[in-house]
Amino acid sequence: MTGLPDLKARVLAETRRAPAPDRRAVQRRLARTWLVVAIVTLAAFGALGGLRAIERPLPFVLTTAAGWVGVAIAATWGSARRGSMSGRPLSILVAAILLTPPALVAWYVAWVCRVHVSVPVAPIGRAFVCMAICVALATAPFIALATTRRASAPVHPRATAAALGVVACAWASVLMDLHCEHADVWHVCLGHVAPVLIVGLLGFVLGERLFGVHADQSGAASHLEGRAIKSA
Amino acid sequence: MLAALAPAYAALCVRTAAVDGRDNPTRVAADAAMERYAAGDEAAFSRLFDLLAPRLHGYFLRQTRDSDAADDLTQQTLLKIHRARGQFIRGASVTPWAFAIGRRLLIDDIRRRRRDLLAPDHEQAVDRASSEAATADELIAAQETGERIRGALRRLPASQREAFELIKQEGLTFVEAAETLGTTVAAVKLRAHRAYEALRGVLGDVLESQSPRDAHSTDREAKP
Repeated sequence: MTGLPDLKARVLAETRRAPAPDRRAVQRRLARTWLVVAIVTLAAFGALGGLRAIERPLPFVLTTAAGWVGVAIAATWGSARRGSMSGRPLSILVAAILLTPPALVAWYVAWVCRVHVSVPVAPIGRAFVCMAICVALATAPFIALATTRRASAPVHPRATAAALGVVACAWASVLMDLHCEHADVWHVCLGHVAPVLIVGLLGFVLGERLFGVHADQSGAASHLEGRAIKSA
Repeated sequence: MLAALAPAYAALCVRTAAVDGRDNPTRVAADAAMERYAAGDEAAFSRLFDLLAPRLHGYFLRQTRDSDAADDLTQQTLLKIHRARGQFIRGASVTPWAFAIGRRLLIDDIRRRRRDLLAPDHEQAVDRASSEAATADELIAAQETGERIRGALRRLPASQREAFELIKQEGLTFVEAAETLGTTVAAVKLRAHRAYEALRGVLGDVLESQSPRDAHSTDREAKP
């Protein structure tokens, strides 16, 4: 054992050797990151054709999109840190992950039934195109969200990353809903809502890599060395 | 009407602060030091170290029974806090965050090294250090009791054991333990209560003879 004064000297020396940015610097960097993400995502949305409401009535498009914005806000709230550095309890993260896709579908179906929009069946291939676009639109926000949370070491890395994936793709689905002319419920489920699950699953898979806390190999080695010296 | 409600509101605030640990001067000082450090005051990290390191070191020492491992894990936890200083949220509590990072580092270290957690020589070293003034009989009795408690703790489910240790050994509040374990306060209370009930079943005579008042208060606090 080195004793806490020695340990303190070592830790303080390390902090001087590798200084970390303070809150102001981090906030500036994050603001730049989010600005770039917003520009890239909206530019991509614009390049795709932006808002299209030719086949579908504009009030219907805006109402379904407004509901999806509400769902995306709720998912964002569910995965936000809310004053805790360790992140949200697992139950809330799981609720955000599992309830977001059904909530999107439920809102959409409710409005399709209410407004009685004529919905020609969309070709299946178009749903996969929408799926790919949706995942692509969610990529930049997901990276930004992961960057924002990376150093804080959330307690549930996989669930947190999955929730952030769901949040990023829920917002991407809003853009997709504004853009895509197909109002067919199955098309919406496959092309606009399924990507939310896909990106959530991707987050789950990458979670440990993104947010995992791993013991430093050199540190671990040094205490094993210490034990070896002791036993000798 | 409002004036009549003011004392009740003040009492509620005091109670809330007591439940989440905001009335504890050490925790308040640690949060203030972390806040200053996040805002750019480099000197505040030394103060933060003084407030957090002894508790973290004690936690790691109890868990690993290895002072070198405890040193390394304490160092790594504090360096991770240092690296994430810019992301510290205003008004957040640093203690449960530090324990959460420490707990995960510990789990990772155990997985990686597959260390024998309760090597007898280290246990004895810790016991010796903590009871220098005790007589030989007391020392033997304390070691036997300690072994029974450790054995009973080992048999508990991990979730219950962790909740119990964080609250009873590390002195975290239910709110802090919940944040450390990434669960709800109700779940932590339930786990700690179940752990205590299980321990009481196994070690009833020890608990009653040693600290009946403490046992009753824990029982009362732990009820969800």
